[in-house]
Amino acid sequence: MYRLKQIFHIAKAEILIQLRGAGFYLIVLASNILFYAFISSYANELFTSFLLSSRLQTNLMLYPSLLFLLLGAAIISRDKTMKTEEVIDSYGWRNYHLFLGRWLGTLILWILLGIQLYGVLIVIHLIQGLSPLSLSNYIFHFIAGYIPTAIFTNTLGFVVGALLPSPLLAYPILISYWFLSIVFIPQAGATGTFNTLIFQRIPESIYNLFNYAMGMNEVMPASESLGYFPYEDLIILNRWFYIFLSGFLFFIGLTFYKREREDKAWKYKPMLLAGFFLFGLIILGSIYVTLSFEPINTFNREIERVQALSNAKEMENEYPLREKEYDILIEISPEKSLLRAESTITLENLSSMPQEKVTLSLNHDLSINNIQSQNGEDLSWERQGDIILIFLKKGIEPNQELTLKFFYEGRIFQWNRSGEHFLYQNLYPENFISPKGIFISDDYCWYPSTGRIVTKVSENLLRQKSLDYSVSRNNAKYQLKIVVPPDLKVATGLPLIDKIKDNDKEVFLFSSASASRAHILAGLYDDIDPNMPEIVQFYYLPQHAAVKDTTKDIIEERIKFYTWLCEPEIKEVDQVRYPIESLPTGKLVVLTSPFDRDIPGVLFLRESYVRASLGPQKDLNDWRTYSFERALSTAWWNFQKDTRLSSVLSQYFMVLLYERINGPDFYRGAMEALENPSHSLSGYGIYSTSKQSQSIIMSLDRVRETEGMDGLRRVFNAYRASDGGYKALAAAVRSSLKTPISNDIASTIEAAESFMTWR
Amino acid sequence: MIKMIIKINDLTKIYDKNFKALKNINLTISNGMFGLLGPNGAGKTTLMRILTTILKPTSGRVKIGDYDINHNQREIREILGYLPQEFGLYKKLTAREYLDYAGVLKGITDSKERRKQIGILLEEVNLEQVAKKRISTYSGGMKQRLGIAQALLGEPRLLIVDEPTTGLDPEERIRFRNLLSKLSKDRIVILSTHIVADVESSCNDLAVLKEGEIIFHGNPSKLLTLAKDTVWQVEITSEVFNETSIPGRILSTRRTQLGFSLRVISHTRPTPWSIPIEPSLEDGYMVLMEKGGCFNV
Repeated sequence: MYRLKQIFHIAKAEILIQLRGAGFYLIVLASNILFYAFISSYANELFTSFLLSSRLQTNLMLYPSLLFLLLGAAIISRDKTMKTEEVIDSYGWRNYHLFLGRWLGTLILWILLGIQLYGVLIVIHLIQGLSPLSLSNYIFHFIAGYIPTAIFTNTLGFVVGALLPSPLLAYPILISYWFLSIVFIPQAGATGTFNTLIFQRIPESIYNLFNYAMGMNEVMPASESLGYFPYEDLIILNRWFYIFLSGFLFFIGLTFYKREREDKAWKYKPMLLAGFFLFGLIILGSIYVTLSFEPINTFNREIERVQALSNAKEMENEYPLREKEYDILIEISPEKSLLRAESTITLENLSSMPQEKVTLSLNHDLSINNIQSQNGEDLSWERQGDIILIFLKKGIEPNQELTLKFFYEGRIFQWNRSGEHFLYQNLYPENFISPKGIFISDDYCWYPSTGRIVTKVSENLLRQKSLDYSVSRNNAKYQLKIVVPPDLKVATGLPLIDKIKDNDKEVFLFSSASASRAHILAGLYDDIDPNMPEIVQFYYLPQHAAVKDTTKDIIEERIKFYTWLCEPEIKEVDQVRYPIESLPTGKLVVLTSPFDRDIPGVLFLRESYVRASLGPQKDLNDWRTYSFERALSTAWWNFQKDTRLSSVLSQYFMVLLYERINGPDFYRGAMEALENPSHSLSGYGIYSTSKQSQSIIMSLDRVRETEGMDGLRRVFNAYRASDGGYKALAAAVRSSLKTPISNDIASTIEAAESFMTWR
Repeated sequence: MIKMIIKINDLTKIYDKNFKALKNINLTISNGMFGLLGPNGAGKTTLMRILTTILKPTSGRVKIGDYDINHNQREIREILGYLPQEFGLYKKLTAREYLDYAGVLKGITDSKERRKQIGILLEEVNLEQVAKKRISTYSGGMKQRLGIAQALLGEPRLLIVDEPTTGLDPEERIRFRNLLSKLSKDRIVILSTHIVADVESSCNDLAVLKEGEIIFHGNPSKLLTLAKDTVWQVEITSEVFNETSIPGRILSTRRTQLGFSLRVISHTRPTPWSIPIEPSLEDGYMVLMEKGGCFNV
């Protein structure tokens, strides 16, 4: 007790000393500068809050961690440099008193710093006032993300300082370690946001991108996105490793720290030898675990690009025009690998300035034959690379519209030189174009667009933001027609709206509004890890659909089920067939969602990629299947106002699907697990652990119990017919109940209703 | 307070490269103020550091009361107060905060007791008025007094001060000596210094170290007797002073109206007109230091 008291007293004194010194304030300053810099950078408060929350997950700790390391070393060795050592050493403390006391004091300071930073986030969250505060997510992230980092960096600094009391030796070593750890994985790039060796957590990646996208679509508050902190499987192992590592480092530091003061220092020699062995194992294990996450790190560059981009205002200035209506007719001539296109684009001036010129982009491999105004008058234009500059005879005033007509043609091959298409077109050219079949890229490359031709997903995301705003304001609609010769097989990544007969040709109609999202998908996978190409191919590359027959069957089963359950407007959907040669002649195969809504797949694919381990074991051992399945289900339930709700619905949807595949016990097991906190949800495809989400699923279950599958169909269709959102779902649930319900069911539905209407 | 004795037997400290800093030191120190004199590099600080357990001896035995320096380091630290020759302070803290921290490290975990002791000590070292000021604003003397205050925390039975008056002005030096004398009433105070005047007025026992060996141990009057009949005053004109070599060692040279007045140590009368004068402790020390020379003791 006495010793414990002394340790706490030393910790307290250390806090006082640090609060009187500059080091601590330097760290506070560094952390806050990193933090607040974003507030001034982004006019959009919500977007800022998302960036801030991502800071927490990512490089918020980048520079402070260096200072943690250096300050830790300085604190434990400062008596030598300050000449206080001789006095202090003559006192009666034991080595561990001072070591532990100072370590604890410093750690408390870091925790206080963390509380301050998280406090800022919470305040911002409250200010934005768009959703209820999910405090538990902040607390979880603080405990799981911040504190272990502080413990590790603090310990490492202390230990190096204890072993090498000279700053001339300790500092270079720590700085080198810090630097090496942030550039350890090449994919992290030179700026080094990879930091597992310091920050002991999954690097920023999919979740951040997810957050950005959610933030820009205004669908999710910052605190909820924090709840997506990927804390599972290897990450948990990784963090355990680092906790052990911190403990062992602490032991080493304590053993070597001023060992001449202790008579019995070397009695630990055998333990030390054993410890060093353990140390090696831990390091190897950590590296292994770290490297296991390498694929996800590839997203870091995308994040950096997002961060590097300027604010929304500048974006608007750069892209003053948006496509309001788009009508493209494409004729494909596979013999010469050519397409001939006629595009009518209606542009709207979103800026406050009149526009005398129009800048559009089109892949430079496509040569423009002519550009006309609405009344058929030829316009003059210049072109440099992908950029087309069109000179208007009469400018477009703010909020006014202009319709242009483009005639262009060119090779349909190798349009996107930097991305996946380029790579795979070269690897497997026969799967992209042949006398029998063709694959059409679904990005901006082959039709003029107001945005630059960008292959960076992040830029697209930002661009998507402005498009989304426009879409929600004016409900713009794009139409794309592809005229396919009867004997040609065509595959594309665009969702099919309908197909029509046009004389002797079949014409396929697409919702091209989703093209941008599809492009994001493509862009995302441009850089994706080679270990998971199949998921890309699943969508884009026929030759890679080397999916097992069982997988195909499952997909087909699902599509049938979706069709049965949701009564989609789509008239005919061809199933996926690979390779391209086996496609039915004269038909176009849709490789993405078969439904009429946009593809949100990019978001959910990423999510499912990480969370694959939580899926039902029987079918989700192959995560590709799971990803595809997730994309389908979420495509159906996608609703831009609240993707979180869509996600909840899709989870329930999956349980229904798996019931059909695995039998009724599966469904019952899932519902029991939901209602019983001691049961694991793992394996049932339900990962939303919030009461709100679970309550919604339970209310749907009650509807099914009372009204059967017909009742559920009524809920889903009523919801689909609505504007979406929690309240709409609550109303749909209520309206679907035709028969009297028991008190138990009523209370469950009411509970869910209260969650939904509260929102 | 119980009387405590420090017994040093055959103490030797050899640094790297076979440099013998202490050679078979034998010494007994009891309550009161003990002076350790010696020129720079004589081994005083090494001895102090061994006594404070900061340094381990190469051989020999040291017992402080019942505690052996090789086996009871922690116990010795608990009864020890130490002010090294050069010491740093946490300058951003106030005197009171610093002493509080030192008190914690010394194991005074009862905060009331700590506060009480700190209050008494601040008063004793006359820093009470500036106790809330940061140490960075203190003068050298104030820092030295704060140093002694930290050493006295926990009421140590053994106080070791190494060259404490170096750099102090005369007034501070006198005040410091008096303070040490006062403290030595109920504990052992070991004052290590190369300034003879520090020891002269306050120590009842002293030892002189030279090149790692004790060349004298006894009371100040005994050291004084070494210089009996060897100290002379020589009045001399400037011309003679410039042209003539005075036998013996000139301790001081003072300018007078006629020329110079010299204080000279010599076993023989340096000049026919030299006048014998009463020796001081410093004279005794100087005679001792010249051991092996013309003033063999």
